[in-house]
Amino acid sequence: MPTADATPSPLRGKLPGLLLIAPALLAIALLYVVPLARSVIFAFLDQDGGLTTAHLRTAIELYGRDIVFTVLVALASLALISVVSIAIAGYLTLGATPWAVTALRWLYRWPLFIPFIVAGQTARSFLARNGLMNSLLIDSGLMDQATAQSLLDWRGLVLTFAWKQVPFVTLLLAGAMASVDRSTVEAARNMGAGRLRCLIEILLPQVRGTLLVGLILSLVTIMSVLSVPMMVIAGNPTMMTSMMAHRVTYYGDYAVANALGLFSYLITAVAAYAYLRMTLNQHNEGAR
Amino acid sequence: MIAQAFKTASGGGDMGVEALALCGLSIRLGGVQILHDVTLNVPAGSFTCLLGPSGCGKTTLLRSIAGFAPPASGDIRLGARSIADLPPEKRGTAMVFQSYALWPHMTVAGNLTYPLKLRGIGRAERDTRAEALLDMLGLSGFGPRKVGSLSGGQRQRVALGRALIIDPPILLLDEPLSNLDAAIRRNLRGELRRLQQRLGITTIMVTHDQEEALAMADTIVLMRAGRVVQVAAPQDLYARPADLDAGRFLGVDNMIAGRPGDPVAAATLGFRSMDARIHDAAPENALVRNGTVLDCAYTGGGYHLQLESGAEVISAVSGVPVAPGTQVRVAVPTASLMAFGANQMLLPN
Repeated sequence: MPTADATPSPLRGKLPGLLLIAPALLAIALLYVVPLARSVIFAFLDQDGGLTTAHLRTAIELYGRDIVFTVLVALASLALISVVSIAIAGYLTLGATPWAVTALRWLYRWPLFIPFIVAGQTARSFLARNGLMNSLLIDSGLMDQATAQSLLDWRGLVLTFAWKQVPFVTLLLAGAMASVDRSTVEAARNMGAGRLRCLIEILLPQVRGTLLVGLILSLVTIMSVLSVPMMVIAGNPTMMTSMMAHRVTYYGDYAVANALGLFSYLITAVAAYAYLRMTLNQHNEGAR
Repeated sequence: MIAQAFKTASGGGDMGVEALALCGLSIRLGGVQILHDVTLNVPAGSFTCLLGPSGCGKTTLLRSIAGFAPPASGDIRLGARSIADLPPEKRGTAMVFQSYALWPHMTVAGNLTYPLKLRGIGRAERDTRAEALLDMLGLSGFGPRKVGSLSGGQRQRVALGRALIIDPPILLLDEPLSNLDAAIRRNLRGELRRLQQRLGITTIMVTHDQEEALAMADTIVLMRAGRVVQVAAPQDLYARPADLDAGRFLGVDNMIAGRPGDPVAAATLGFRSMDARIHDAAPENALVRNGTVLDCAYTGGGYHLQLESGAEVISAVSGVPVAPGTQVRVAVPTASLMAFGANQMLLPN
């Protein structure tokens, strides 16, 4: 019988709570933390179980160019994604032609529902030397047959990644812009700012946190998509995902693949750090 | 002094004050007719209040002047030019929003100088003008602060400064004082009025607070259901509201049926309870009714009575308490009576 003398032990009070979150904690530990830690550790273990940096060195030696290529493609994609999604979200928020806004709102989300592998396939048939884009340009007389070139290199990657990720970032950005106090835009227009200036100098600064989140999530996606580089790019250099798959499929070499994976972590970690710092700064400013 | 500081801060008046004219303005928003054929002349340099209950279209009227509500028909003229077809950024009207609409990602000085930046004025001059303006607004040293750290009254001042820094031909105020405490509001009311008079800037203010409108305006435009009901000076509007509804909105709380033998012949007689007093003997030149006291409440300076007179209830005041159930005689001086006809309109004197 619990009586008045009982000062419950701290653990006893927390036990029900711990039990409640245990399944979730366990799932995170087993499905996320353990495999992640394992893959990091295996990048530094040799065959006998000793510590080594040999895999890391092999990865840099063989795939250094691919790492740089990956970073550059990712940055170019993010730049293109930013510009296009700011333009679309801006038009959705500030557009003055109702039917155009409705049409755009309806159209821009489509790529969200198309898998990367299909996007890669479509890009391949659209951007190739004899692809749909060049055919259209030549037929319409805008381009000479002789100057037609294939875009199935880094440009194809950037275009495909942007095509697939723009709707996602736009979705976030348009939502954030819609919740910005409308009168701040009206005040700027009242003071003489055109719509483009309102977008860049009034709306965008108020939603830059959301833009950053969208770009970081897109970066992580770009770093992890395998099908697009496999479909779009034939030769070297290519994205790291492609090389990791290659290493595992043809050599069964998990150690070097893990070492390559480590670079992916590092790149996304830098982005995550930048994001955390910015949100902390904003938080501190808000508290001041 | 303040006006001079302002002129310096806003770089001297090159645009000058201008008159505003609305001609047959109609506005439809989302299939609903918000404004019906509004015609209004606002003289240069005057302070005009748009007064009316919520939803009467007064804010829409203000927004249409600024260019945020496209007219379905009619014209808006500022000085000699028509501005009805111009986008908001080309109109040169300066609006102070109800929510202040300060830009949260900019500092106080940034908010004040952005309109100057839009006009291509150099950084040094922008900073000088912002300094002068901040001094004038009593916000010296607030320039580098974020707007989020300001109080409501301070934000209001920054919003006003931001509107005035471009030296606009017309100033539009959308319930600028409604988000403030009563005491600050009363202070700012006077300050705003003095500033307007010294600058001589044509000003249109939207408010639903009749006391505010009476205290500040040269002319009050009374609106109801998208129409202008009456345009008059505060004293005229207060003493002679155009119809029964206008009277009720302006605090005429007694509306009783006229009887033969009343000093003024009318279908309905209106008067304010503060003009209705208890008398032992019926005075000359007054409307007289007998009634039973229903209720007597202390209101600080005196007592507020509810009387039952036939089928009607009359509000009156008294210097001394009167017990409920007492038979009394209430009288209203003829000069304080408003006579309305059967069509509810005010009868001419």
